[in-house]
Amino acid sequence: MSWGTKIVASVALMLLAALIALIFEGADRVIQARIQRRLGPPLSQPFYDLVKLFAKESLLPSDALPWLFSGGPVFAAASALTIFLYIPIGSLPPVLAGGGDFLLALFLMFLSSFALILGALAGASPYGEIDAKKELDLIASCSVPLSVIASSLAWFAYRQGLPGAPFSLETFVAKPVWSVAGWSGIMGLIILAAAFLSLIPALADRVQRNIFGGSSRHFSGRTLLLSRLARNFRTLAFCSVFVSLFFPGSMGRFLDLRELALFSVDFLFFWVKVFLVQTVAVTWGGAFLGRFKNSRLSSFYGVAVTGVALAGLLLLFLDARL
Amino acid sequence: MDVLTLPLNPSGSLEPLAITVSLDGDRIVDARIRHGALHRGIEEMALHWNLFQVLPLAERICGFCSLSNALTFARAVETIAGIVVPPRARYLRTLFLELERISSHFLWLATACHIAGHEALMMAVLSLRERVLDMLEGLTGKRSNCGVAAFGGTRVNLDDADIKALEEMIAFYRRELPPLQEVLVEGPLLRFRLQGVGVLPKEVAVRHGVVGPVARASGLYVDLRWSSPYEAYGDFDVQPRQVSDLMGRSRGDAFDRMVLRIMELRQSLEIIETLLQGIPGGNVLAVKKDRRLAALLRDAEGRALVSVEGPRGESLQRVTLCRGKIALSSWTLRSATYVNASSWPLLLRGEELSDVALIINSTDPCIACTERLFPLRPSPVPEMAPLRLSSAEDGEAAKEVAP
Amino acid sequence: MSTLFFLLRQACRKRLTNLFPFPHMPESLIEALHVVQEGGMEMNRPLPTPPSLWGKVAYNRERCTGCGNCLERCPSGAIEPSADKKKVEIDIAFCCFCGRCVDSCPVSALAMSDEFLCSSLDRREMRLADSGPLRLSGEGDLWSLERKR
Repeated sequence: MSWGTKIVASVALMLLAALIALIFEGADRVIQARIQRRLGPPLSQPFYDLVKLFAKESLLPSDALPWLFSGGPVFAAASALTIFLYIPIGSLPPVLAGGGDFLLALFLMFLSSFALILGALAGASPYGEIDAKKELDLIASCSVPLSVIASSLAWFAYRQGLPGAPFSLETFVAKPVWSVAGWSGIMGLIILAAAFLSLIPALADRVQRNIFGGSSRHFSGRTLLLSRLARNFRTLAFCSVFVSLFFPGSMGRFLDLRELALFSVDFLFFWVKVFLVQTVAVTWGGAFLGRFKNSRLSSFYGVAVTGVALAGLLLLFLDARL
Repeated sequence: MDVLTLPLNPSGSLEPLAITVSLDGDRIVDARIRHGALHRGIEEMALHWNLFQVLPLAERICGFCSLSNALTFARAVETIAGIVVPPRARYLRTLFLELERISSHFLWLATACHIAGHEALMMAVLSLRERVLDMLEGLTGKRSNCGVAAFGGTRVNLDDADIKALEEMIAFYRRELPPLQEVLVEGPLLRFRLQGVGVLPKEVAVRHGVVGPVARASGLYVDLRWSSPYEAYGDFDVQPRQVSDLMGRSRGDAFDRMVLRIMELRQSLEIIETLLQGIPGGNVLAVKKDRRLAALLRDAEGRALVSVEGPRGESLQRVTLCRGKIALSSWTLRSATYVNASSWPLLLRGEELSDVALIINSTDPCIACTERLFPLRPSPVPEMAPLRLSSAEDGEAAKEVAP
Repeated sequence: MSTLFFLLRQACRKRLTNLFPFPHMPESLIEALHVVQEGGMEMNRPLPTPPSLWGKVAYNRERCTGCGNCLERCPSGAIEPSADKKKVEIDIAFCCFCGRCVDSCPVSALAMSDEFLCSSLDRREMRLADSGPLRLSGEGDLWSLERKR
């Protein structure tokens, strides 16, 4: 691909991802309302919110660092959107392919969280300090099981001889890991998938930490809008990465389609899968997680989920040995 | 140690309280709680009104213990005036006190679920609460502030259709409560969040003199319905519920308080069920003629100290009447939350910041009831202009209000 | 597991939301209600009220003897003596819906109707001087108005 096509494709993909993230948020709210026996807002509510917040005044605290306070959310949203350039969508290859794009996606995810935390810290309020500490705690405890999952998958792919670079998402999409795993390997993969699913609400900033609201409560107007968008983009990106890793099947090949039909069917099928993952992990998972105490959340992810992920790694290891 | 002192805004505790916490990291080292945002001058207002006007005012002190407050007041006045409440009215008062307790406990459960972040459970609890509110609306015409109490009886009477509707309501709760109880008590969601939070051991509970469900959850046998039965409670077996009966042991944490309230919901249903079977006939008002009641109240003189077990615990009032006019000469209220509030700083110490709302809420605070207890005196600071709160002839009366 | 079933069951049950009468707030609610009555527009009906609901106070001026009991009983000072005759006027804006005036009336000139929409832009509309004759329902102490539809 030439540079021009790449730029056009990236912009188009990012806009599309933003649109889908907002639609999915609307759907998430409707399903959440149904669990609570409410009617819920219309599907288009996130768009109304977007327009409304865009028109609102963005307040800047007097002691804040202006460039960091307003720049943090921008950076958070942008880096979360960039992830989509590294994710193969359906049968389409990623716009920016590389050897280690899985790691890069995770890195961008953390970058997005950190940008938001830095923005909240730049507000120079003691509440921001506390919120930032909580977020950092959570990210630190989540990164342990996430790195276990990532490295065990890559090791398994390398060991079983999947074609392509082990840390590339395309490798997992081209040939599902399930096809090369034995019984214990499939068990291990299921366990890893479950651990990954439980991480999505936490890393996508969907777990309510305390009654005050998360770090986004320091923002207002456009900065609040961007911090919310960053959260939605991260949720969608995480679910997409999950689909690429564990749920890669192609509907078009199954139906024996060719060329354009294949790409378009797989493209739609991909987003359907992402929606399913989001409903399970974020909507229903969020209903179960509730408003966690921070220390319990850290111990849950740092100890329990890490232990589960390690058990999955052990099963994969056994599978590769036997 | 680096201690950060942080004021929490009312949204941090869901109550109009000014809480200042000193934090070491995420742990609370010290907490200071200041009341006063909800003082409405009700006691002062009451001194200028006649008794008939004060009764609805007592009802409106708080929306959820409205009947307990009004009934305490009515009982105090009846005690002074020597009015004997007919048996049917005593049963009806008991019935409405229990209905009020059910509605209040459901609301508390919903708030606890909301603070724990389980909105779906909150909606489940609230949808169950609707039934008792509909019942109250059908019986009295209002969902809260029902206006049941009157001097010498009740203002509402039940007919057979109402009793049937009440029995249907009990059957509804018998059907719907067990699944909810299973989710709340045995399910992992709230257990994970509430257990070990805000522990109030038995010894400390005795020292702070806590009342109501908070005391019972700490393992104390404190229940006015049992220890000094009033209205029709003497006719039933109202043992104070203990968490250890259901869970094996009681720790006195927020989870135990939740379990206890669910047990009390079932107890209230049992009380209503037995009460409906033995409800006596007759009048619901001791003095039917308005003029006669006014004459009785005009001649009444003396003081009474009356307490009623409200949904949150003991609601205590001291009422003084003077001869010659249908008015109060002093009125002091002490709500259950006022007593329980003394344990808040203790409960908060050593806990995490994210638990502040949960702990304060676990004692079921009612700030609207609590902030009736401020002394109404002229400002003691001499250089400030004296704050005249009452006219000269009421000056004596105003001083009486001060506890 | 039981929690999951509980939540799943809850998600399948009938929703509890009672919708706002109109999708978008009309310029004038009263006018919109008139249009609905004439069949020009659809609206989400409000929940039915129980017959014993304590709504707006109704006052039968003819029956009133002007004894003044209600003036003494009203805690919020909503009832005032009329200027011309020995009758009263009720200011609904002050009323706290406690119903004590209804209890105290010896000739049953006052009743709690089940009309609960009592907001108005004009303060003078809130003053109630007469709401016509009342119909007794049942043997109880409470009265209810036959609502004109």
